[in-house]
Amino acid sequence: MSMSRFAIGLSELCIRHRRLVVALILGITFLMSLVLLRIDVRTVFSDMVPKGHPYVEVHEQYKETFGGSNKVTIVVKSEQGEIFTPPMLAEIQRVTRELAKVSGVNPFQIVSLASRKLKSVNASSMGIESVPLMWPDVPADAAGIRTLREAVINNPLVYGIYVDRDLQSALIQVDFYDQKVDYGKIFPQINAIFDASPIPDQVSYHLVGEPILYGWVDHYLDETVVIALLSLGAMLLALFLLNRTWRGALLPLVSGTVSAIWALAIGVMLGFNFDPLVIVVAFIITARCFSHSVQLITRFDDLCDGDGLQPRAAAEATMKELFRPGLLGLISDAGAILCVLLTPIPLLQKVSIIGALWVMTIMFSAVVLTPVLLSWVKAPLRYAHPLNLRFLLDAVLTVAYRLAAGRGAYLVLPVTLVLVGLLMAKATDLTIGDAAPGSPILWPQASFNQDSALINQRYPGTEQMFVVLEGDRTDALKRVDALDWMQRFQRRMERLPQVGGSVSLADIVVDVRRNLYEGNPRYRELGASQIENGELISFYMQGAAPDDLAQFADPLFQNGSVLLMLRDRRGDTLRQAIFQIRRFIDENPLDGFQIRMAGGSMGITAAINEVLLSDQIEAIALALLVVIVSCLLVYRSSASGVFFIVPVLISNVVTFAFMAWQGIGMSISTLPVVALGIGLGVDYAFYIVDSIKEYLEKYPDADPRDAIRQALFSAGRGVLLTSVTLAAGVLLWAASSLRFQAEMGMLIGLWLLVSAFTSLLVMPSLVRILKPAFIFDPPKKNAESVPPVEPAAFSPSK
Amino acid sequence: MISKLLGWVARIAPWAIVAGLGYAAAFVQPTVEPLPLPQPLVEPRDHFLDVAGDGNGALWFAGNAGTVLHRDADGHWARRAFEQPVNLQGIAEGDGRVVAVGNQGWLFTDAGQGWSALQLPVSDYAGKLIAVSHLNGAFWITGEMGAIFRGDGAGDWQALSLDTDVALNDITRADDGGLWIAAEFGNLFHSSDQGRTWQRQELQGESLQAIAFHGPTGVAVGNQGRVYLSDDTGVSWRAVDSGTHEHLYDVAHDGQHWLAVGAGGVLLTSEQGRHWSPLTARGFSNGYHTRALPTANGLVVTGEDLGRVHQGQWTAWPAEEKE
Repeated sequence: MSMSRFAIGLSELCIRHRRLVVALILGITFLMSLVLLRIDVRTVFSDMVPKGHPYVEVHEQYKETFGGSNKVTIVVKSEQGEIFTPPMLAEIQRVTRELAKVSGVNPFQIVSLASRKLKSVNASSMGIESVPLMWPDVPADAAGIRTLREAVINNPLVYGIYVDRDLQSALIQVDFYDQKVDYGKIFPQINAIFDASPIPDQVSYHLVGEPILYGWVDHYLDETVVIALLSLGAMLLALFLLNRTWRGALLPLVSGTVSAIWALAIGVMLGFNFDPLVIVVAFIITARCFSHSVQLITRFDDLCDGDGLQPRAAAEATMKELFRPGLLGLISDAGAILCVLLTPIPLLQKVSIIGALWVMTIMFSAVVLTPVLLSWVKAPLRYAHPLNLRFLLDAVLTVAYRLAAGRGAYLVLPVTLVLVGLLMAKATDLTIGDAAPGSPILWPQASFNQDSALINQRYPGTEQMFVVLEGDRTDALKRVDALDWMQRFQRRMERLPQVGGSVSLADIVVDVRRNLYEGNPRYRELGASQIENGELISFYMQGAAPDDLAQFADPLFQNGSVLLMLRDRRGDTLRQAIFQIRRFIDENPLDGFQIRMAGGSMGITAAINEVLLSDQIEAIALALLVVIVSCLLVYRSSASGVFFIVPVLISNVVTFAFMAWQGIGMSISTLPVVALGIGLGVDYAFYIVDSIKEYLEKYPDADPRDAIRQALFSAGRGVLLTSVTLAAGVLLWAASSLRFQAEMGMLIGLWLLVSAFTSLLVMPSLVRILKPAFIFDPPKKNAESVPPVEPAAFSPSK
Repeated sequence: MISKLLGWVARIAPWAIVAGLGYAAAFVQPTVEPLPLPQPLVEPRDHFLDVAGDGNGALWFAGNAGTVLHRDADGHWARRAFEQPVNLQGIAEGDGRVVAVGNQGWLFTDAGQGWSALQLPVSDYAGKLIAVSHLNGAFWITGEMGAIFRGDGAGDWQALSLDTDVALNDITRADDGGLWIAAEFGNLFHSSDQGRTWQRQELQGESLQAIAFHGPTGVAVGNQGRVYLSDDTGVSWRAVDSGTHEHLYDVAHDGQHWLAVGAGGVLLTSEQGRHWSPLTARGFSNGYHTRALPTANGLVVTGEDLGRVHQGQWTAWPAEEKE
């Protein structure tokens, strides 16, 4: 059965049994709504970790010992000079103690001046003693505070790392259990600790870390919902103004709602959480659903208003005519989105699966439901509101038609090629990974990024990455050459301006040795033998908790880490760091050790960046393949594929050039943009080109310009209407406090607008000039021997 | 013919585009343009424990990992790292020759022809050469396990070591030509016969780190902020209050004042050596400093960082130096 016959049969069936169809769809929607009550809205960090990458394997293997991705760094800063005053020290102690009560905290991994982990190793000619710096009590008098201050300054493992060099702030680091971490609880609970400060005028708090970052995302959830509703409202308003009828606004809303409920409920049934970060994807697919619905309504209006068909017949004809481009568009959309499934990042895989399913639900919610509901319309355009803005659409469509019908058509191809060439040159500046210093999820002026900048200015760096030394036997880390390797590695890495500092077991060994020699810096060096280094470590461990060295070495001293503190998380920073680490490892082999990189949150980010480019290209290639295969199946022509690739490539180049211009790096947020953009953007071209083809199949002897005019003022109006509607919605996302959402919305919006205008301004000219065979030389069996109608029937609407 | 060719190209083109992208996805990796990673004059982990000057503006700093930093009289800097990456502890200049000493008995000399290395016989257990000074026309080196060497810097070195398990931290000369050594566990050693024999004095228990004379006045400083003063060229010593408990690592006289540096950013001054008070130097860091060298242009200080104190202002070298 050909697609045309199937479309005819389905249209007749659906309209004949329209009550049953509506009841069936609404019934399923109701059941799905019940499932939706169990939706889990939250961000999960592990969803962003690319599985199988060597860095991720190192991270997963050692995160419990050498530092997980759930670390929170808090800086308690005095607003009135040094922290060595009784109220400030008491405040540091209070915050440290209160942190132990926060949900999911690992109480053994709270490190601060007021914790027992930071010790003063005091030595004199009389001996050596190791005591916590300010635990369990703060100094009671001025002499005690002075002694503490001196102890801090003389401790290189504290001074500059846990107390800044100006002595005006103290840093508290706290880790959370992976399985217990709940960003929604951590963020408000820590802020409540700050709010309860007895000295709010004397102190400021600054906090960073992945749990805080996602706490902010959670914090903005209400705003996200508000923006989504406002955007939805803006789109409906645009539809109402431009369509002039309630049904023009309400039927797309019904379709969008049905699709959203179905798709999200399927997600719940699959056990997926809904990440508020990717709500824009959901929003865009809903807009896509609107678009299909609008195409159907527009064609329905044309058939009723222009051809004078009765609503029921017009609805059936609409469904039949638009079934092919609609199906083609939806398969391309879903196929392109599914291409992201190959990316080894769980968040994107979930987006891919849900996105594809969501798109396919449009088949029922828009392609079937909208014409069925339209069949009940009694008097098309009778109840249209008096404010007729269609002249605006018609003005644009007239320009598009004149461009394609006149001599300007011959300039379109060369001008487009030149513009694309220029933009492609700009697009090569695109950064892979984050392009700005702070978190790309939030705006630079967000308090998280401001805090991050402040902490990176006063301390070695908040962005941490660790390299692991895996020894072949117990106590291997105590070997002189192993510790010397760490020191030389740290020395080399700290020459990179992006590396603020580093810490390893070697730092502890040399510091203990210095203290053993009366604190004399001339003895701040490694022991002469493995035995001496072992003794130095034993000195450190006297009176220490078993896990005090856990950050640097395992209990058997077989595996250890070097922790690098980076000043920012930009793609270039991470690539430089990884390059230099790899080079040092290659140039300095260490017998009996395997050196592995790179764990920590920056190891994960580096891994993401490394898979991004290939995954991005892969997504583009596969999405284009889907488009080509779809064309092959529907038009029986591979050459048609190259035709529809044109708007995709133009949109891609424009979007990448825009990203390079705006300093937006290629990141997790841009991957689905490309896949969505290709899938959704090509729909516009399908509608317009298919409309031309449909006309020429129907009237083989018609002038191509008439076919173009008909296509532009029918399908083109739908395209323009949709893009304007989408722009109305996307504009509001730009106001989101979450940069991730704003940029994703902006980029998808840009992509779809470029796709729409390419379809309107470029594609008709290409059709006229290139005269592709799949349009102008269709199989004869499709042609109808009906005389051409007057092209005037498709002139600007009344 | 052309239209057939174009049709053929059109049919092939989409597959070619996808194949090209597929190839790129499989083989194209993000490239990294490696930073040149130039050798900075001072690395974050550098510590320069001693400084020497030639009196004409040139300075040499001895640092860890076999590093010597040189600043010529015009303010130009150069960094030199020896093949032997031992930590250098002391450096001195005399008679146009520079001598640097460090761990495991390593000694490096340069008479303007380039550096040469030599390893002196020291204890396998504790072989750190700690200090070197140019006194009475010869270089004197002291170190762990009572190590003392005297030489001309050209390769002829005479061992005059003491048979004692004491680290000799500093050696200087009094106006009467006598040699003085500040040592571990509160020991002072004095020789009036050019090192052939030494007399020991013990000043309580804390280690002494440095000693200096100006006329008949001698000052020795050490751990826990200990300062000892002699008004009779070292015949007798008495403790004076420094006002700090931080370790003091060096003492010097700039012609007008006594100056002392130590741990925790301590920088002290005294007129006569009896009453000590902090010397204000804006920007002076809280880290430790192991050597203070008075020069015509101010006090050069080195340790955890290096720079110059001049007119109450600290200038970190070489980063902040303004010619």
